[in-house]
Amino acid sequence: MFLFFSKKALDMILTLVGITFVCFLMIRMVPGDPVLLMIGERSMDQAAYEEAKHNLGLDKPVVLQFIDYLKQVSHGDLGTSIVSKASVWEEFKERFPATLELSLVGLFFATFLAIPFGILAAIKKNTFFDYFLMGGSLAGYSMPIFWWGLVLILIFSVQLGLTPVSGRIALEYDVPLTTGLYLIDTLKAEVRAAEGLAPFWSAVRHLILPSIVLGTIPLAIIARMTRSSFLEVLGEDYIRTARAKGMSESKVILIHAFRNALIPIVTTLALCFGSIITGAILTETIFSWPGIGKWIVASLTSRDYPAIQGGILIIAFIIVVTNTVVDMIYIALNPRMKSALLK
Amino acid sequence: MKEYFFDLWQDIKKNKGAITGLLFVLLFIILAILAPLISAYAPDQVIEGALRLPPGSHFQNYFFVLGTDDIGRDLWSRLLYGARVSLLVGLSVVFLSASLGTTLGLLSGYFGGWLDRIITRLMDFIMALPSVLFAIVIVAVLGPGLLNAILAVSIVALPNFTRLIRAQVLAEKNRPYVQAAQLYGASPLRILFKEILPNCIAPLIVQASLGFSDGVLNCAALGFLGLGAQAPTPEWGTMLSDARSFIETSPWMVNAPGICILVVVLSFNLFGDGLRDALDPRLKNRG
Repeated sequence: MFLFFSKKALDMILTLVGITFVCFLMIRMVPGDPVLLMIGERSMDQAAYEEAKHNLGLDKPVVLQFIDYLKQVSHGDLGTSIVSKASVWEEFKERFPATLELSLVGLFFATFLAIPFGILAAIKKNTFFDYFLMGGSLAGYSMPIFWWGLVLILIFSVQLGLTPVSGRIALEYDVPLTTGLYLIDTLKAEVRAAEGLAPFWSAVRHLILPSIVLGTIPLAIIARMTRSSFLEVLGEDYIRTARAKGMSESKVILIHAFRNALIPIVTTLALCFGSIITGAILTETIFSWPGIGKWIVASLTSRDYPAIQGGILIIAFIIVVTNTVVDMIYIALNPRMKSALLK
Repeated sequence: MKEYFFDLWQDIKKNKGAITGLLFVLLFIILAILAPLISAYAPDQVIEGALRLPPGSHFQNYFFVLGTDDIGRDLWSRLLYGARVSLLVGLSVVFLSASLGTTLGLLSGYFGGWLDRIITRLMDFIMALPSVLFAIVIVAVLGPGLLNAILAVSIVALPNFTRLIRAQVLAEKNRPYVQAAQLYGASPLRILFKEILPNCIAPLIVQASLGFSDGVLNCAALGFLGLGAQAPTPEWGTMLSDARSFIETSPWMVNAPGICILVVVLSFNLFGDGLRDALDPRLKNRG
């Protein structure tokens, strides 16, 4: 078991070094002079150029440059943004809570609907209801979410005036941030004393459409996974035994089937993280949501290479670490896998 | 082989979803091929004064079935030519990722050892990053444009093919027919491409069908972010992005390309899913 986990951890470290290498190479493969790209200026005199080159370490051999970069990254130094002149890490930290809040609410929305939908489709297998849900789920999976977001804005914001079009909270509220998550920060005692619950509801209203858009594809994936996982479990002998004992159908489903079907569902849920990040890039662009997705696209448009390099590196780190941890938890929780490994 | 495909067709025929998907796929291909014949105008022809006309509008001697865009181009014609772009994108992505991915998968599965380790690690590594993010890295290096977007999306799709074929090869390479070919003295390349590959065709077709829809969707997403096809190419994602600011006043400009992307991606997914169900004996036995 220990050996297995060590191997997983080693795999993770190798992947992380690989990703760091790609980000390191990226800036050197962009056509143009890396010194000018990193400094973000088109022309500078020779002395200033040489100094900048030396400061960036670009006068050293490439291998040493990479080792320097690894050291730099391990100390949390991701470079300086060309546009804002601020540290990339600070820029990231400022925007991450917005993406985290959106992702968590989106994933919650997806799970909240997907699991009951999947279970119902499995129980009512091959009926109109099953076809309808699974057809809808395939449509959700095929959805160009950048269009879906615009459609929802058109209906709910423009025509019905129910939800705001962009941003995280109405401009009139000035909420002091501690966690960076508006749903939590707006509930703090001092905010409630000053403005009541209005800022909280404003934050909720701003979150509705973006989280539906972001949750659409995970919703489809989780619903399909829940259905197939349930179908597999419902065919097992112990379910037949439970039914033969005269146990009520709801107990069979909720107690026996649900717990056993849950393992693949939880894994799928965690593995949706990657699609959530992809979705965040598109969703944040549509709703002008001030998170990391919008930041990376804006950096790309302004050719802010240090920001792109740093941003991608952190996101990749988060995803790789999450996936590895999920893998480990999955194995630790699944007794069959555990015994197979211990043999 | 003929009999095999006949049986497969019999299975697919029973699946209404797959048949609906297939019909839409065929319709999409026919429309794309016939675009110059059935489009009313050239995709980049600007009709002066005909700005953002709603669907079914008459303007002077012109008639616009789906309306016009913000600079007076016929939307129906642009969508038809956009179908050509999407078809080209899907085919290129599938061709590039399937040919390279299959070759890597065959080599990795058959030879094993260090080659297998390197290829597997490379694929794990590509899979570690979400597809659009990885494509963004590639487009950041190569610059925005349709060809670079295709290249980026193809690289992102590589692991799907490599892993699939590798697993197939591992299952096939110890079968008697492969051993017989080895005894006959057939070269590894001959064994891989003439003996093993034909036995991997079925899952490869399924993956190609699903890869097509992923390719179209990812390229449209890159187009929407301004990183894919550039104006005035009538690419659906780019058209949607250009139309964003007019959503309140001219929603048809946003909805027409959006619905097209959805229908094409959904059709390929429906067909791919049906095909997979028909090919997967486990699902078949489950009834």
